[in-house]
Amino acid sequence: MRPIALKLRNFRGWREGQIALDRPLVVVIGKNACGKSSTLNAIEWCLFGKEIEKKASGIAERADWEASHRGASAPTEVALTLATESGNATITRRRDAEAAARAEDELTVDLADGRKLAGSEAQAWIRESRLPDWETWRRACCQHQEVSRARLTDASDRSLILSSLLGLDDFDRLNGVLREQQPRKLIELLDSELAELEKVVLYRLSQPSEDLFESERRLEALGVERARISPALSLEIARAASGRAQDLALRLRVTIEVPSFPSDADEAAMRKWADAWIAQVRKESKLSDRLSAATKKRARIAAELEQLEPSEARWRESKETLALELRERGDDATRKRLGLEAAKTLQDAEQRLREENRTLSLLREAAGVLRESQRFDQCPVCTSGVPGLLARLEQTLEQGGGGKIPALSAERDQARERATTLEAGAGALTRLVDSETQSRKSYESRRENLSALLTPGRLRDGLDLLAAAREEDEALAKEISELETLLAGLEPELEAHRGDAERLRELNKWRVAARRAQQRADLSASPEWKAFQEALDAAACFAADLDVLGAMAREAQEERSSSREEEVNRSLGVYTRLIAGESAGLDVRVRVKRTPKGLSYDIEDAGGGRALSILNQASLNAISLALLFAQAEERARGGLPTWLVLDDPEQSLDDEHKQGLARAIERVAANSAVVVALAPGKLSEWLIARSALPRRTIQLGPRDAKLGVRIESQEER
Amino acid sequence: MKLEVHERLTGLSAASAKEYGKLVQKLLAIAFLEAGAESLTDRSTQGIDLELVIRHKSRAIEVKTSESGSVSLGKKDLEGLAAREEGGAQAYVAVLGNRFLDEWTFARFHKGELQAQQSYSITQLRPYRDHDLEKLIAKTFPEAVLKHADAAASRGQPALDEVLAGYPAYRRA
Repeated sequence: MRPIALKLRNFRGWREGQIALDRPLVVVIGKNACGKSSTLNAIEWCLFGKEIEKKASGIAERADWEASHRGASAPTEVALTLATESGNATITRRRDAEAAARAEDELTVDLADGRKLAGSEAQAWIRESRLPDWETWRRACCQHQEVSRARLTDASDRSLILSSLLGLDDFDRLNGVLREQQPRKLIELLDSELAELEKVVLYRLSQPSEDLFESERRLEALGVERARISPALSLEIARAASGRAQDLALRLRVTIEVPSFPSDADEAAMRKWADAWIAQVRKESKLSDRLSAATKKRARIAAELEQLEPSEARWRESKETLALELRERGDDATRKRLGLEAAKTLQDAEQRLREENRTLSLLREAAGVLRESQRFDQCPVCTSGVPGLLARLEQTLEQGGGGKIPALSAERDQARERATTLEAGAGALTRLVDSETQSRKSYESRRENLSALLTPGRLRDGLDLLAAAREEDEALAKEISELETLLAGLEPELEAHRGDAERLRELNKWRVAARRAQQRADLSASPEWKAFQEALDAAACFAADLDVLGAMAREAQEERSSSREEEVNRSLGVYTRLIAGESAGLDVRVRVKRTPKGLSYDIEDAGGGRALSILNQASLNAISLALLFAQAEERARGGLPTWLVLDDPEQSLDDEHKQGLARAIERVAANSAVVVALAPGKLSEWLIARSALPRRTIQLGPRDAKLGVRIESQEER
Repeated sequence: MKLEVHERLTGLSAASAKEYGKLVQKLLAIAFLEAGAESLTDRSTQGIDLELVIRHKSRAIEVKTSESGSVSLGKKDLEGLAAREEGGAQAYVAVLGNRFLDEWTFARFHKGELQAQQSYSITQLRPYRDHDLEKLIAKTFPEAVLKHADAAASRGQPALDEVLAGYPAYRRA
């Protein structure tokens, strides 16, 4: 595949133009700023959409020129026509002047069969045509002043160029890929992942065991010997607990149904019963309440008994006092009769006394009248004379009615005293009766209270209340003692039951843990593990294959490098000697170093030293060009499309070297299409006038202010 | 590997220290005999560790245990395996790691592929695995460990030698 024509429109200094590239050697000649470099750049831009970077000044120079000469809206378009096995194909790249920086160029390929490929299809066609990619172009197809030195000074570029020269770039690429993949690191990664996986799996699998051991430790702490731990132990414990529960219910005299457990089938029911039993016993037995009630009752009986005897004594005493009173002073009727009689006597005595006193009063009045009337011996009523009447009257008055008044007063006082005595006796009797009644009622109330405290049936025939009460007290004392004993014994029993319940619960946990432990996955039997193993095998095989592939690539690389090294060195030597001249003694060669990681390449001189560090610019330029030409030869030998684009390659070379360069270009152009841009001079003269190759010379004139780059002539030979 | 087996082997390794490799070799021999080996020669000192005929095929096995997940083979090991291979037996490097997820890896020996003194991770040997041979002892090896590891831990190799002596197909060289 060779280039045959280049058509430019609005590319850098070019307004519009077309140049033929249909000869092995095309020489573009022109003075500075005529558009030589732009012409070569147009080829790069058409193929790759970019160009070799220019020096800043160069870019500015051209950009200024373009800005002032090109219409703002004119699109840039470069079309490169290639001769292919199936006819001519034209690659066209187009870009609008105002396209955004990231906007893609319009790329098309017009094929000989009339098809027009665009975009990715056009890119694919370029790739499939084995045209060089950008990196290959940069290293092996072009020479620009800006990259010439870098080809030698950049170790990476240098190594790649030498690898390409040795025809090892494919191996290097493969080795690079394998190094990236790093099969051994993949194995290490697999191992590392496997170790991590193991930690997770171990943790997951060991957890049931830990639970089981922990459960066994707890059961031991609960008094179950490790050797006795078994699923059947639950039934044994539940049965024992059930038996003790039945005894306890009997002793507590409570009616609670205690289940019997014929088998361990319903282990959950066992635990449920055991957990609920204590609360049930407490609820049903009411032991504390019963003890409290019995104690209180006994205390009340004791209190009643304590009060009953004094109460009875009080009653008996009041009764006896009353009886004595009655005996001594009669009964109430007698007392009433005597009282009435005494009252009557008093009344009579008082009556008589009042009558006597009235008589005396009348006598006193009569005496007064007699005295006033001075008729001392005359009856005031009948005026009959009674001698000594007043004297007698006064004597009678003086003697108190002749002594009757004192007697009557004494009689009255005596009657009054008796009446008073009788009245007082009646009050005392009433009080005695009241006292006797009250004490009797109090006594009877006590008895009733005591009777009420007795258990029904306790006061049976032939048993008095006190005896019954004492019997009751004794019974209560016994009950209290029993209850106290029960209560004291209940907590240990309940504690024992609590232990059983706890053991049953723990046994259940143990049973679950044991089941889980038994169910631990046998990984080697699980399909997931098998699948994982297969995946691991596949990964390990892949890594091993990669390793083997890497080894094969290294072996092949070594073999090829051994076979190619001499040939490349010969080719490199030929071009170096052609360009630098025999007399320069510039003997450089490719040096292949074999390292554990693979091959590395460098250039050394004949003495095995690093040639590049001591060479002058001209020699470096010569070696750079020699490398370029040698690569072109290698690509041509490999049947690859091979072009060389040389932009002012003669820099720093003296005339002798220029002659050598001309010979070198002529030699390489025999197998590769060469487009070389030159200023008029010795090299252009040599190439135009003396080369035996078919060639085309394109003479560029000074740039036209309006038309830009201008072709003065095109000549073919 | 079952957890119990791994735990027993871990215990055995702790109890036996340097003897562990030989104990595992003998447990493997028991496993092969239980799996129906028609003859089995166990070497304690020089030469290939186990040589057996099972399913009518001769096998030569260099037994390795690994705590690091990798093994290296001596020149004599490789030469021995190569010689057995040339003699018609199928030669293997059998490796058992000490991790829970490690199982026996029976890697077929190919002359020239394994280098002496070079370290190979068990994973690196996986591409050479003989799954059929591994399957043969997949059941019997864990059984042998569960059955005899305690005795081996307490009494060492003699305990396993006694067991091995009970198999008519067993021969000690």
